[in-house]
Amino acid sequence: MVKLADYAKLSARQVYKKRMRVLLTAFGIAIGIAAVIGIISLGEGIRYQAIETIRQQSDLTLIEVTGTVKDGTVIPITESKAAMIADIPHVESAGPVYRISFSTLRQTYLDVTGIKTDDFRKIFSPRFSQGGLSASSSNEVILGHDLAEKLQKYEGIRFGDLYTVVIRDYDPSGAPKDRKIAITTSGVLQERGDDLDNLVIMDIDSVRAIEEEQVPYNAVYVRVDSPENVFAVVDEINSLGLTANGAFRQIESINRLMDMVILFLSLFAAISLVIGALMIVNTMVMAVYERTREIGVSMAVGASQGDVMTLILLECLYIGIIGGIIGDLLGILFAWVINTVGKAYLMSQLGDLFSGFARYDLTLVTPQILVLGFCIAVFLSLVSGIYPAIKAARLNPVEAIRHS
Amino acid sequence: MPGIIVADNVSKTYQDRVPALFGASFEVERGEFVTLIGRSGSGKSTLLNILGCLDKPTSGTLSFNGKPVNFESPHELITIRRTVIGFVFQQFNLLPYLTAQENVEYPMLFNYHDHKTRSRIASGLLESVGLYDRRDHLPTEMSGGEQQRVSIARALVNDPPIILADEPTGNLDQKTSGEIFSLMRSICEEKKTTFFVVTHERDFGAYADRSFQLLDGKVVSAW
Repeated sequence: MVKLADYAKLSARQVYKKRMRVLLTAFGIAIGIAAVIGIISLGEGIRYQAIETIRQQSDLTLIEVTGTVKDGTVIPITESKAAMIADIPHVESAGPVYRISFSTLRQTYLDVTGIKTDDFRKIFSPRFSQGGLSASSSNEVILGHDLAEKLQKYEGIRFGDLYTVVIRDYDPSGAPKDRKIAITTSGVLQERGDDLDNLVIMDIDSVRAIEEEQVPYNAVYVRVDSPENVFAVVDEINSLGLTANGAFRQIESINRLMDMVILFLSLFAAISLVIGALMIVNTMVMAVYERTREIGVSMAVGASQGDVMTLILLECLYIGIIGGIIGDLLGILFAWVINTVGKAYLMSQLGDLFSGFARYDLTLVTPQILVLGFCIAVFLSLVSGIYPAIKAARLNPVEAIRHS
Repeated sequence: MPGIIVADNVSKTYQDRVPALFGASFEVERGEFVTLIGRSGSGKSTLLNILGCLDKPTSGTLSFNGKPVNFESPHELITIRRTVIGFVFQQFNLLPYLTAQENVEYPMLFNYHDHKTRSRIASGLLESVGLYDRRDHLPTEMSGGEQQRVSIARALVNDPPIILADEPTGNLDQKTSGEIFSLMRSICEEKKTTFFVVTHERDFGAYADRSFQLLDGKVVSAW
């Protein structure tokens, strides 16, 4: 360790002596690092904004679990599966759902979601524009905002009315057999902007009373405790052989898209890194050539091949460290330029449609990106140093000392 | 007891060239000051490089303190260079960016000495070659004779039993050359260090206990 510190001091002097050349070489790698940082931070910035937009506009912690059709067989949601879902860590509440359909007398088709009133309250935290929750084992239903509007507009059914709906069953010969029941609206939901706007919500026991046949659940609504845990819960659900749906799907596809975009653009930036690395190889080969005699003398006074390699690689390490720092600084500068000049230009070109972007930065430089950039610079410099270091270590000391 | 350096039938042939050494055999006693003379191209440097374990002989054996050198073991060669041999070059070969003090310390860097020890030994040696007050000077700020004295101090830094010098006065004037030879001779007497000095100047034969001559690739005793 002491020895390495001494070597580090010696190499530092070599670097200092040739500081202009080292700086220029370090700039070569730094520009590559800055390009990578700029591209990744732009990609991450766009990813962040897209995901934030989804988070704001949709209910991220709500997951709808459905059975999976696999190789032609259905994996149903049985009572025990539903219990297992409820036991997944970070699941706040899980409400099994039983779906049936009604139609009104005027043939308006109604999707009915049967869920325990208590589960519905816990999972959806419903806000009502009129009325409130239904009583269980009753003929009361909750209507989604759009559906309530539609029924009022086309069928004259108002909040509080008792109205007749038709349930179509089939007799053993396959002929349709309609049943009529009377229901009433206990509450109308405020507009949510999701599927619920067009659904009829009914207590699951009421639904069971109407539909006597015992079949597995159609779905389970799951509320996760926080957005961070959604993907972990989804993994657990998938491992039960069930399918999860929800707003997180959009985030998944955005992540996939951005991963590809960032990877692809990074490959272009990587070309400049390759050029930077070649510059280091060139500089160090030259340095070794210039110092041939010095290396020969070092060997004559007791330096081993390993000592010589260590000294050369330490010089490369310095170039990498300097390049990494400059690269990080250039990257931050690059990101800043995109944010100020680039964003203003983008806004003027895209117009009002993307005015939401105006509040945010276009690029997102995270500490991880900076650490990554620095590590790439150091790693590339050391790799670039291998060939010059081997070349130096393989010098024949007799010839090296004679070298002028 | 065998001599500190024993060369037995050491030969070196280069590809496409006449043999540089052709069965050189000689023995050097501990604490002896030996000069090796010969025309340029007679193989003096080749012999010195083999003695310094920088070059392999094609055949023959070389022993230090009765122990034959295994030229196939890089580790052993490095150990010998670090502990047995000190080198003095015609071109001084000081590292231009290091001060006199640092140049003297340099070989100890490869020999696992801490900073304090290095500094103490190097200062002492610079004092003994009369350059203590110039220890912070760079080689370019020193005369040839001063640089060679620094180089001698560097050769002594690992306290080797043998110093090999390759025409150490080849780049110096007559008067300075005399000073260098008398410095080496006094070190030889004080520390009982064995000196093996290649030179083409017979004038300095007076400083030597013995002188070898290389003739047709063989070592003959001049006197």
